[in-house]
Amino acid sequence: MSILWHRYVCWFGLVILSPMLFAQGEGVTKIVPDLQDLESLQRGFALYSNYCSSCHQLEYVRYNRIAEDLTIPKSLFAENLLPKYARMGDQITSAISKSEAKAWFGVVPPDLTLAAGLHDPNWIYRYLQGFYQDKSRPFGVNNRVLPNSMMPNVLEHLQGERWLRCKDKARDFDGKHATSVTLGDSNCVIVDGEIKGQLTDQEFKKVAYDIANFLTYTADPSRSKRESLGLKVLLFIGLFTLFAYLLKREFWRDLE
Amino acid sequence: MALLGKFITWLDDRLPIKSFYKKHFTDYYLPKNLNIMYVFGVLALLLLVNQLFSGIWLAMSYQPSPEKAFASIQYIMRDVPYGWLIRYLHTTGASALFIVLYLHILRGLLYGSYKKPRELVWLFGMTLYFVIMIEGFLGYLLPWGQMSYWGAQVITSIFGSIPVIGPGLQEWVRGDYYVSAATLQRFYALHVIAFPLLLLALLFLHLSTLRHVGSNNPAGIDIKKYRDHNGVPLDGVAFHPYFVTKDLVAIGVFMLLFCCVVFFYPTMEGYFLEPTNLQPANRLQTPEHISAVWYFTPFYAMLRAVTFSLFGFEAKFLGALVMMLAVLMPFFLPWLDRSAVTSIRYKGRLSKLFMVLFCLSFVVLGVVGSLPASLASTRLAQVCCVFYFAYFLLMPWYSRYEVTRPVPERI
Repeated sequence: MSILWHRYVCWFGLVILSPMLFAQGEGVTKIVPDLQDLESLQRGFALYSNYCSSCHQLEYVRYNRIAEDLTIPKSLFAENLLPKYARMGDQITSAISKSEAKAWFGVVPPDLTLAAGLHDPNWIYRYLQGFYQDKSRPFGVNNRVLPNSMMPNVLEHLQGERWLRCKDKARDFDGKHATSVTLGDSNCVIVDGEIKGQLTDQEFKKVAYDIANFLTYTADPSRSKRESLGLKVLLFIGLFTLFAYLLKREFWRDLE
Repeated sequence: MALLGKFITWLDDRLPIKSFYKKHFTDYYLPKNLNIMYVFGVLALLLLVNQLFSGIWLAMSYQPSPEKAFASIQYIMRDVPYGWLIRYLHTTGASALFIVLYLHILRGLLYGSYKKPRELVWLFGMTLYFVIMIEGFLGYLLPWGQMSYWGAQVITSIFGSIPVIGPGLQEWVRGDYYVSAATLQRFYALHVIAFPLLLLALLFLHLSTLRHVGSNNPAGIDIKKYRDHNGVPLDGVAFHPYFVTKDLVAIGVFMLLFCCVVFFYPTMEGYFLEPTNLQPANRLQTPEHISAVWYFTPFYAMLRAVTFSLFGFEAKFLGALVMMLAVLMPFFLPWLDRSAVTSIRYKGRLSKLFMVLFCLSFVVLGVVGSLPASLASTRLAQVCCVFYFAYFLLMPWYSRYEVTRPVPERI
């Protein structure tokens, strides 16, 4: 009987693990979000406040929850990170209204609370690095991960200008047909352009990582707490099962 | 202690708790050879209780209106103390309930648990499964995400494909011309009141009939034939304490696995909670690929497998008919199975072959149903449909005329 149990446990483990093994297959660099890395999350929130919050809301997140989870002292938070129009218990709204945003960008910039769950952290990481110059687009840039994205490259002064280089010259960086390039197209690469940014490539990768990491947190803020509680619960049930098994064995001994 | 004894006697004079305990626990005998396949009934019961309680607490903070439903789920996940735990218990519980039920039903098929004298146990059980499917479907709309919305839109549109009465019926089910506030509110009412009540009534009947006729066992041998001088079946073992402690171990192991998912993989990589559902419902934007939740995918594949019109009926209606028949088929098993023996252990090669084909086709249909439709997957689904129905429809012949092995008198 106990061998049977083991087999079932192993099977279940395999079933759980197999999608994770498949997920490793893609060729692009994968990031692993780390919700224990509070410094990264704090940097991510600072970046969000500086670059994203004017247009993108985090509708389901409250300021004080972020202060608490990211261990930012409330007074410091209220002084430096809280917009003048908001209070600590408020949900995070964008600075511009939806109708203004619609007029400016043609679309309402999506709420970012659940972005990391809807796509995945890697998608955000690659998206932020996927911009390149494209004069045919309203904001002069296009994105490799989300072609024809309506978002301007707000991080351009950090990253610097980026050009698309294709084997087929007609589709080069200033070409009008560059929009058909997607992530899997190996004929095109993004290279540094003329205007350099304030950050090196490595530093900018870190910026993209911190934002992706922060949005992973907002999509699932209870994760750290959930996993630490989970370990205790498993330990308890493990002990319970052990005693239940001993009890069962004791009773069934009568029958033999 | 004496006081407690007095109280119990007082109570027992007015409510027969002692005889109930005796009849259903200490003097209730189960076959001694029950194997691991026999734990899924008690696990299903455990999960139903889990759904009931987590559901009550969810309903305390959930708001059934299109404007507020999606946000109230996020409110539960973020602002309600341990709301995430309550919701993950409910969502994981739903998927786990279907895993457990599929294994529970498979056990019934393997060991012939539907055969005389357990026909009613089987019928109540299958009805229960059907009701749980509807309950799951109703509950899936409540988060009001994109997939919730379009899933409900697709499934309710099936009613519209019925000739003559279809369009009217579809409107009646939705309460509107499309899935709207009226639909959400009625689904909520049905999900939290009507179907749970129906479910409890059926559960009571399922368990009462089971306790009256007693459990089948992997050998399919009746243990009531051979009794000792006290009338106790010779191959029987008392439910309490033997099977109670055995079930406790099963519950422990199950809870370990269950909590692994709840605490570490609550979305199960998109199978238990789909990423598309993290977008609020949008009536003006159809998702590229509308998929069913994993536990409905075998039936969803059957719905999509019928791609041709026949006798003037449109393909969609025929697909719905096939899907409905697939759910109804198992109800007729007690009368389709003409075998002289009960358990698969003593049945002939044909029974075993059709059983394997049936299980394989169900799994393949499940996989196909979760993928976007293509020509190859549709053909595969059609073949699997044939095997699925062959298991039931050919049973009266292959079960009757095949050579079976002799069944021993005792376990």
